[in-house]
Amino acid sequence: MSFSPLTQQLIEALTCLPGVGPKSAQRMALHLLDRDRQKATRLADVLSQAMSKIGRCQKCRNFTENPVCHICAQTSRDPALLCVVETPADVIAIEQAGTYRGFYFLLLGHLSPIDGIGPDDIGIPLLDERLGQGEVKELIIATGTTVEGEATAHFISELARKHGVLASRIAHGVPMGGELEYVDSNTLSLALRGRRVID
Amino acid sequence: MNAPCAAWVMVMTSNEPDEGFLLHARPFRDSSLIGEFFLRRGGRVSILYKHLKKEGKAGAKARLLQPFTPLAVTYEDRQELKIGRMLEPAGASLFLTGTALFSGLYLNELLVRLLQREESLPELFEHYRNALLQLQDKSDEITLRRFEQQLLQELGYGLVLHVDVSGAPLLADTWYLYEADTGFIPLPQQPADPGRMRLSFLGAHLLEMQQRQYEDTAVRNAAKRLSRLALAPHLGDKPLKSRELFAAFQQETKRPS
Repeated sequence: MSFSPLTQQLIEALTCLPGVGPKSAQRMALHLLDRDRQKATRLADVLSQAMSKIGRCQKCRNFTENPVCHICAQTSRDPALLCVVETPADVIAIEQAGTYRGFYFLLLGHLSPIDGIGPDDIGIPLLDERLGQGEVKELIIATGTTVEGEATAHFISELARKHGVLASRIAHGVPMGGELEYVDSNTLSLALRGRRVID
Repeated sequence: MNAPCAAWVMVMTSNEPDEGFLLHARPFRDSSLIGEFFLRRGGRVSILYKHLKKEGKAGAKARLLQPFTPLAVTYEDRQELKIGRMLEPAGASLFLTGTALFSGLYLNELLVRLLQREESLPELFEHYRNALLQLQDKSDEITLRRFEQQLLQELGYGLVLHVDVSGAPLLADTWYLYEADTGFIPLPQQPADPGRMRLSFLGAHLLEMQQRQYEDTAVRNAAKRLSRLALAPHLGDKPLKSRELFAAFQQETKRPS
């Protein structure tokens, strides 16, 4: 048995979602058609609007339907601080931590030569321009602690140096409430290397 | 950290760990990853790791899957793709920072592009490990030049650096034209044409390279040029991205602040 062409198209379209295979897509499609037409119509409407209206923030490259995102538009933030992160999810994580009051810059990836991802692909020209404007005094580099994340951090720190901006890297180490016994050896040696004097 | 066995064997049993480094990883589906490894015994292999968690203790495996970390691995052999089983650190991670990190990525890209799958190259593996150790101490071009020559040698594309095409010993003060398939052709004088100059090398520099002596800057520059020429036919049309990245990085460091 096969579905009608349009039903089949819907199922195939749903498989574009992460973690959704043909079987789950079929379940979702049937659920939407059978049980929840109203909500499904709303989903279709919002999805279509989002896809046509959401672009990138001109300042930080985060997703937004406005020219400048809501964080970049806030005047209460410290314009001297700029934090470089890889993904929009990283911005949310730092915002939830609640202690950072500066602005962000999103790379939407990291340098990875083997995958062919270079400086231009992660918005380095825009960051260069931003640092050139002279408002930023400290660049906090919060890229991942992967090898590619480190390479990206190093590349960006040179960019900051060129503009005379102080570059800092977020600390790596033992998680809160963590026992040393269970910390992996790489993290532990980074924590030892990055130790600081108790004042 | 050293291999658990003295003799290198091709036979792979899944419960006997092989030592190696991850060269590159790419995500596969939601929580899986395909790692390109360079193993001491197994050579270059692709290993699939399924159901990797990112958080907490369960994420330890994912965190371990990083380049420049000596790893002990076992895997289930299923033709081309292998399924990862045991994964443990086989020594301290190498901390490559700054320029050394870019150099390390360059070595990895070379290996990913040039190594045939499942060809056991224990000597090249040892050269690679030594190169990483040297980069950790001090990032310098000598390590890269030496590794390029070792790589060519081990892959069977080694250059004959002591005799010319006719078999006559190279003379220190003679210029030679490099031809990929034949070797070094002696020239009556240093070529004036820049196109030809790009393919020409001074005998003295070639002899130094033969001895793996790269202390002299002129020798290093000549070795860099020669390695590029010798590697080019094997790399194909696609340029090495890490080389471009490194050039872009150097551009940043050189620009006046």
